[in-house]
Amino acid sequence: MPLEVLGVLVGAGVPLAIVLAHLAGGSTHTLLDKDTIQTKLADLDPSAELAEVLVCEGGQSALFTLADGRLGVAWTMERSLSLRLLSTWQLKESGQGLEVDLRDPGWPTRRLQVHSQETRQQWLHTLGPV
Amino acid sequence: MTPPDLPDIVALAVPFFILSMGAELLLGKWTGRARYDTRDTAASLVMGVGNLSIGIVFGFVSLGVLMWLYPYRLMDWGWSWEWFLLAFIIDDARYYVFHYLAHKSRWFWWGHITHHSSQHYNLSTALRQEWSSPWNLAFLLRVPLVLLLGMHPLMLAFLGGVNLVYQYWIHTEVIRRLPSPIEFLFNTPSHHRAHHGANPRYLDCNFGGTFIIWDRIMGTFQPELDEEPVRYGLTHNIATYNPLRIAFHELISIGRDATLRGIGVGDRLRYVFGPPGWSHDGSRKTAETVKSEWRAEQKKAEQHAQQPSQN
Repeated sequence: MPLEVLGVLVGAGVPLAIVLAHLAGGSTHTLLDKDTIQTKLADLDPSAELAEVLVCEGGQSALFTLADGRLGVAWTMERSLSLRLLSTWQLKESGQGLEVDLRDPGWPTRRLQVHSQETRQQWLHTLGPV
Repeated sequence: MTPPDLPDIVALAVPFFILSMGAELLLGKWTGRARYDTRDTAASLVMGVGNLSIGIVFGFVSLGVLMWLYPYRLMDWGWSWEWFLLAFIIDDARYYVFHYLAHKSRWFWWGHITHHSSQHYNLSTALRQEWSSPWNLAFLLRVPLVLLLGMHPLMLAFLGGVNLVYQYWIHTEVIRRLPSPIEFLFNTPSHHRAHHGANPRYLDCNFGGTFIIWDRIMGTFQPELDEEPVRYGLTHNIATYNPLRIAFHELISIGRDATLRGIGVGDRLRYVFGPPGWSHDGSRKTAETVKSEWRAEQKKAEQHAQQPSQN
């Protein structure tokens, strides 16, 4: 197949597929709550029990603690959810939010919107930095 | 013998890729069996375009090396359809070895992780391909086929394309199960869904490309079970749609791990070539560890369930 034809096919086909995915409702985001996080957590560790959850403004990110004291962060990926239990982590205040840096190139530094300074201080006091 | 003019089957399949994705999207909307997220789809397609471009631009490196070796072959391989068929089966066994290594050695996993990094399983996921070839040197697995069996590098390139196109259509939830003889012999949507699972049961199984018989022979076969729906993605999912991060995040992690202070040369090499999840201080888990722990839990649960009847 000539390269020009391949270029046209790819150049038209890729945007078309993305638009179709959007029109089929692919741009909606899951909104986080305790149940959603608990369900996903059970996939990772069936014995894990959520203790406290801080769903951040917008509902697309959250910090949580487990009953055994472990810490975690949840981040919506459109209708999916990525979740990590933290072993090495940093949590710091950043403007009107909290910044989580997992030091993982597959999970860039994320800013969680938490407008209440009191809440920010509470989680900073509870969780970090270590 | 002059090789016949073989088509670039992957390029020819591009219109089919686009049309079938549209069809799956519509079917998915109707049946609820296919889910496309916009940015996830965009990321997968960009990875696919990148892979195709790298193949066009750098494919000559691997092809060049194999062509250079070809005159030193021990025997000649024919060009008739029977030889093509036999070569396809042998090359599929080579693919099984590559795919096994891609999951068992971090050197190959840093590229292959791209393909597993979506939490979705649809036809666009099939196109979420690595940007690591040819510089991960996986093409060297074709050297014995060229030198010992005398397969022409162009034949191998063609067969690799056929294998890739075959594996495209099995990335779907729309097709549940196929007739038993097909499920026994071939890699099917059901078998490959299990391969994409992050559930402990499904980790590191079903490495076959076109045929699943290699897994049945080597003991790596795991059927998809209705009672345990597949959870797609990685044990530690990424949180990015950035193609560069998707393509290279594991390579960067390898670099960081291999240059840690205070570890020996052996540990540095294990960080590069050892299994994904290996760590010098045991702070992480390999797929094998996750599976062993899961099996132990299952056994404990079974024993616990049997206790009342014994009493």
